[in-house]
Order: sequence, then C-alpha cells, then structure tokens
Amino acid sequence: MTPISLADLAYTLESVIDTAFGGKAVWVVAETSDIKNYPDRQYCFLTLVEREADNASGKRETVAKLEAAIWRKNYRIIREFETATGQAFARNIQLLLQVSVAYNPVYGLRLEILRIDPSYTLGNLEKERQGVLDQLAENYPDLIWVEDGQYITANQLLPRPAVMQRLALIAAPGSDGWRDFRHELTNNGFGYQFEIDEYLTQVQGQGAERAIVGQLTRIQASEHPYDAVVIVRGGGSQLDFGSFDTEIMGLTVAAFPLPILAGIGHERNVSITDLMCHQSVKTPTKAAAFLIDHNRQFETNCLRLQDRLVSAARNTLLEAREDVDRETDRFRFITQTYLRDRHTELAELSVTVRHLDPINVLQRGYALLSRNGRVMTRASQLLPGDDVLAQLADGTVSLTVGG
Amino acid sequence: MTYQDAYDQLVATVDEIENDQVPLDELPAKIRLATELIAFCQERLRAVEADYQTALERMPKR
Repeated sequence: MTPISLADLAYTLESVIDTAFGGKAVWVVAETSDIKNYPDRQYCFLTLVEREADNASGKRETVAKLEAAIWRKNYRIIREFETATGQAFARNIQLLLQVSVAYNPVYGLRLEILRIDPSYTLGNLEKERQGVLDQLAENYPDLIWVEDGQYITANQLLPRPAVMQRLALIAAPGSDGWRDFRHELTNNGFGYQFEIDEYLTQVQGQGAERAIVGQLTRIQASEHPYDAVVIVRGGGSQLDFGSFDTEIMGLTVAAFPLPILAGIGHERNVSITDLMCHQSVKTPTKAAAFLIDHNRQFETNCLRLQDRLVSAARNTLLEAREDVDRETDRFRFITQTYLRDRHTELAELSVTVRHLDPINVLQRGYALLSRNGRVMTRASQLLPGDDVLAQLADGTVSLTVGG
Repeated sequence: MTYQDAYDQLVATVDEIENDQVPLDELPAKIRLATELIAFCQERLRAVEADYQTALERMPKR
C-alpha cells in the first residue's frame, strides 16, 4: 500500500466536508464548555459537547464534542443572546445554534456559530424554573403552596410590621444596587430614620445562592429584632441571575422568619426568590421607596387618628361646656322665678286678707254690733233693753236696744 | 364624685326647684347644693380644657 501525504489526506477531507456541508447552515442543540472569549479582538472559541441524559450512576458521559468559534462578523450574537435571555453566555448551558461546518487542513474541523436562538434557552430556563417551583411546592407543602394560580409562602404570610425601620440589608459591597438603596432610603423626603445592618456578600454569579443563604442564616442567628430583610441587586448586568432561581434560595426565603423584601433588579421575568418572598419590587430604588411609602402610610394613619382625637375631644368639651353653662343659667332663672312666685303668692294673700278686714265695711257706714264680746248677726238675738256695743270705723259706742 | 355625677345631680336639683317640689324652707340648702355642683363642674371642665390645650400644643404639627 502506498501511503499518501498528510496534506493529501487533509485536502481530501476538506473536499468531502465541503461537498457535504459547504455553504449550508445547520441548526444544532449543544452544550457549551471551555469558552475562550476575546472581547477585545471580537472572537470567541468554545467547545460544544453533547452529554447523554443522566444514567443510573448520575454521571453524564460525553457522546460528542466539537470545537466551535464565533468570528468577528457574528460576534454581536453573544451580547444579543445575553440581552434576550438574561443568561450569561457561559459554560455548561444548553443552546440551540445555527452553525456551518468548515475544515481547514491546518486548523482542523471547526463549527462556525452563526446564530443563537434565545427562545430555546428561555424555554429551557422556564422549564427548569417551573421544575424547581414544582419541587418546592411538593416537598414543603406547609411552607409553599399554590392558591388560585399564585404561590403562597410562609414568608408572605408573616405579619408586616406597622413600621419597617430596623433592616438587615443583603447586597454586594459597593454595588450600584447597594448604593441606590441606601441613597434612596437615607435621603427620603420625610426625614424617616432607618437602622440598617449590612450583610454584604456577592449576590450574583456562581455560588451566590450559598453566600446569600449564609447571610440569611447569620441574620437569623443574630436574633436582632429586625423588621425586615432586604435583598438588593441591580444597576449592573442582567446576567447570572440563576442564583435567585435555585431551590435552596426559594426554600430559605419561603421559610425565613422575618419578612423578606426583594429588589433584585430583573426586568424580564419573576425569579423564584421574587415569588417566595414577602414582597418583591423591581429595583433596589423601588425597594427603598416601598419601605418609605409603607412607613408613610403608618404616619398618615397616625396623623389621621390625631385629627380625629383632637376634634372628638374638642366636641366633647364643647358639649360639656354648653351643658354646664345652660344648667347654670337655668339654675339662676329657676331660683329667681321660685322666689318671685313666693313673693307673688304672699302679696296675693295679703290683698285677700286685707279685703276681709271688717274695717273696710265699717268705713262705708256699717256698724258691728256685739254683746258681751259676741258679734250679733240676727235681730232675734236681741231683746229690748239689751246693751250692745256698736263698733264704727273710728271707735265704739254703747247702745241700748229700744222697745 | 365624677363630673357626670355632679352634672346629673345639678340637673335633677334644678328640675326639682323648677317643678315646685322644693318647700321654701329647704330652698337655701338646695341653692347651696346647686351652687357647689356648678362650681365643681366648672372647675373640672376648666381643668380638662387646660389639659386638652396642653396636649394640642404637644402634638406634632401637620
């Protein structure tokens, strides 16, 4: 057998591959690994693999492996993918890719990645997320359940303190989210004071969920009477959000004994942490605004109660004042009337008495006859010769009854 | 004695005098009683009004 040169073999391969794949684009599902990204030079090398589904031993054997590249002319697809999915273009993620196959005698076989389908990744992420949610609800039914299509958790049902002032803040040190939250809170227009204990940690990227759960554990162990825990993240990239969709985060948040407020800055979809926590808002700034507004409501209620107290007290006093004044007047009037009535009664009596006085009759020319001190009113009481006294208006005279 | 007791008694006393239920000989005693009740109520009311004013001043302004 006559050997051929390596180059001849390589040229043959090149021609075979070109015939089969030249100018064609193929959609392929693959998992990323070993990414070498050169943003400055605008190209990226990576290895694509396919692993078999979980086998009994839990290991996933690699069944195919090909080198791939994204060249400068398509380099933007990395950023577009990240923007569309909120998922970092990183190793160990499943992608739907449009590739062309090229063989170079020197550089070998390499796939050129032309497009990345974000909806495939989004669908996978959603499926994964739903899987985690289902697991949580199934494994911890007393902490997490579904009502009318909504997730209800123990953390959500915790009573919300009337004022939320003592806070444990979980944030990345020096991050925009940390700064925004603190700035909004401390510069609130109402002069509200907050007591913020910081539990600083990474909040995104590989292993962030462990770090956050660790800080939650510290907060709980402190036994400090916090009104709420605030987790913020934001201002930076939308990537590496996965920590907030993990089962450990979801479970820890759902079961946490203090209300958790999440402002983890995810515009696209709602993370599992958002679903499990007491209250979720979009951004750290909104988390601060939520707290200020919550406390404002309390103050407004207090002021309203104060108004009601003031006017109720004033009314009570006004009524009492009116009552007392009225009774005082009535007393004065009634006693005066009483005394005047007695005077009138007496005066009337004295007139009557005066009218009855016989002097009034005598002055008109009548005389009052009496014998031995007894007043004589009938002719039959007197006989001729009887001595009587006649009383006239100005004195008495003795008279003898004639025959 | 509470304000309400004093007030109720005051009203009853004035009613009694008004309805001629008080013999004249008992009137001075009734008048003395009513005067004392009025003084008590006024004093109590003024004290409460003063408290109210103090409380108003101590409340945060809106």
